[in-house]
Amino acid sequence: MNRAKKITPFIFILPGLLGFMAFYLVPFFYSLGYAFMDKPVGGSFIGFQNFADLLKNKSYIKGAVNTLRFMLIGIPSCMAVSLIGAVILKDIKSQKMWMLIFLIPLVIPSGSMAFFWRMLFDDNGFLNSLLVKVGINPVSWLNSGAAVTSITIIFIWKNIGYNMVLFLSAMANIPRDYYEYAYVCGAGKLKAFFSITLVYLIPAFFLIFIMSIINSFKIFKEIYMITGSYPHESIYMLQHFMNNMFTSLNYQRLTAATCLMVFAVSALTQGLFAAERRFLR
Amino acid sequence: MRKKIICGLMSAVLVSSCTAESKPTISKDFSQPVSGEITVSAYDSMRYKDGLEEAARLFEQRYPGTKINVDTFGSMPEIKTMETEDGVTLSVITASSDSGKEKDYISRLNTNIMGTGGSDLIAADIIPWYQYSDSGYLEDLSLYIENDPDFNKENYFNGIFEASKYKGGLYMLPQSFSFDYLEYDRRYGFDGKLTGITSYKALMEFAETLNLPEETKAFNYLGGEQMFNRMFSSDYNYFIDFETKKVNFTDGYFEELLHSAKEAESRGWISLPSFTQDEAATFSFDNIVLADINEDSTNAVFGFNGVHSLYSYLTKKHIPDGQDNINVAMSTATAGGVNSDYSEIGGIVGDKEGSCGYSLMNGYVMNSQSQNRRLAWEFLKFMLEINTPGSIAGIPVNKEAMSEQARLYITGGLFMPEMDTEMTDAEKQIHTDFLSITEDFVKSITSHIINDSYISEVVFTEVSEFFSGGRSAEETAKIIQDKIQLYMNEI
Repeated sequence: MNRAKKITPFIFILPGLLGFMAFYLVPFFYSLGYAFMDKPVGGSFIGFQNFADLLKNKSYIKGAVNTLRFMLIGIPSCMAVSLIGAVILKDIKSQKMWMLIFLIPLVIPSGSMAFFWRMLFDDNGFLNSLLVKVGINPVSWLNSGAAVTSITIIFIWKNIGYNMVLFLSAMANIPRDYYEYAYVCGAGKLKAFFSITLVYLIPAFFLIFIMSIINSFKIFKEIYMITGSYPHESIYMLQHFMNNMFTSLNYQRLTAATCLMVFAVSALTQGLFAAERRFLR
Repeated sequence: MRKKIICGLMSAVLVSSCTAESKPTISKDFSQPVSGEITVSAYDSMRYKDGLEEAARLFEQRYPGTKINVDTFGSMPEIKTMETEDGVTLSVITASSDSGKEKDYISRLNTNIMGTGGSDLIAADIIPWYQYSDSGYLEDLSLYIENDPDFNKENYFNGIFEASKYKGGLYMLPQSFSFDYLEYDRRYGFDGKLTGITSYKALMEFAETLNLPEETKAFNYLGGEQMFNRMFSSDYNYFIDFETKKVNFTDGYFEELLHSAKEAESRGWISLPSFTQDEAATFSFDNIVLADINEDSTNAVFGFNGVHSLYSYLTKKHIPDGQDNINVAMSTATAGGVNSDYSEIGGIVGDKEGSCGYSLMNGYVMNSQSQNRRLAWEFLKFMLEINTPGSIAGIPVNKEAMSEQARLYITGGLFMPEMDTEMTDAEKQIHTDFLSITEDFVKSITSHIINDSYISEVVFTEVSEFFSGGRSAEETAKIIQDKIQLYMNEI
């Protein structure tokens, strides 16, 4: 009976597990072999030379720095805006309607939205026409340093609904008694927010932070559709580098970069889980 | 225990993938029969499709039992016709580039190469073949040239093969190539001074010495931007070195070219563009103004012509009363060049360091994973030897093919088969002169201008901003440097 109990879950997850192994795990490890060869065709084993070359490659470094910078700007901004939105929507009557509105960006196809964003941010686009009307010089939203601002706006717009749902469900689990007790003791709303809401949202913060890290990589899709394979250097991400390596059939460099990225993301998420466990303890 | 088993399995998968994909062993025995089936793919249907299909048909006739599959991706150009009030039929061929389709083609090519092996021969039209060769996907065709006893190197422009080498190997074999030569108006006293390789820098210095009447221009370009594009093409290899991945736009020379082209426009050395951008955008048949092709509108001191313009020059020289000759008619229809009554051939156009590159018209690469490289090589060799519809663009790298192409051009048989007759004495003289002049020019060619589509797009987009007054030369050079350096650092 005990054995049956142990085996039963594996039977249920087996189809998904086999698919994951067949389409992700095995191809990943198989293609990883290219990272240790000098050429995919007719090449020879060169150890970690590709990794060493990659860490000295200026395009790779630029992509990595830009990706990190975007994560440091975009993720906290998105989480902050989502939290504020969730706090505002928490107690209003039309909460469901507003949640629906904020979740719409998740279901609109990226291709359609890319067209809209291009019209909005283009040098001769809607945003610049508004700026000119009020007497402000137009900004090159996609072809200058302001491109980071543009993609942060896109990132927040796309993920605000998803994060708000997670925050709202976490906030719903905080017992009302705590707030009532706090108000009775003379605490104001702001004090209650920092002392009760934020504290009890910490587990949710970890989850949303991890999900936001994953979503921050997905922003490449919008950037690619709006600006192509070689955008402005401030928004040239790691995925641009890897995508371009695929286009030029440079599989050794592509797989080396993929391996490093998987390693970095795994280390980060494991570190976050460890920090969460330690905090909760 | 479970973790050890999983780690062991993953390690086994990893180790098994650490063997490079093995190439089929190449047979250097060229005495083996030519048989089997190969696939040739190309994107640029207009330039390659008809030629490949014709070549495939002829090859299969020569070698029964072989099968050459031709796979072209791009759409053929659209041909629109209209009839004027005078009963003249105008045909306009519109061919546009579609960067989305080009990306789809390259993506499909890459998927095929990494999956099933891909086509045996691939046209070097839009593919970044130099990147593919770095990863070992292309055969070094110099090995085939050296080892094939039937390949007669004397029949080819070996200098073009040398110029085509990349990192010591011949990964792209040109079928036909082109270059520009200089033509000038001898009334301005340049005899003897414009031979050999002439750079734009030298020509700008000559233009300084001229005191031209208003209706005469120094150069036969329409607008500073068009002139800049030619100047940039001539110095392409100075700015970009694909072998060392060096990019050099900010040492001042690029800005100098931009200023030169703009100055040429402001000093009246070149014509202004006939169409404004808005007119070009709304182009339709209604906009066409038929020029009187008999009017003498040749009024430039210097002309930069494709090598086929030599036919017109030589025809006028050897058949002075040949107004009905097709080559003379073609030259008369081209306005804005050097007055043909006073034109002389100068040298070949080169870069500031005195070297000259050729532009590829048709060329091919061989997939190193091809299962029938013997057949692929034979077909490639066959295509070099024959003249096909596609190879009229440019000079064939095979001397006999070039001679035959020249004969067809001179008699008019290339465009109208019924005119393919025995050459007259004058036509034979034109033929001899053309071959001699072209061979002399080709001896000066020492490099190949690798025309990367992304680099061209960046340069011409940013340069447009400069010519429209939106940016300074220094800013333009810096932006181009940053973008292209980022691109070159990847490859």
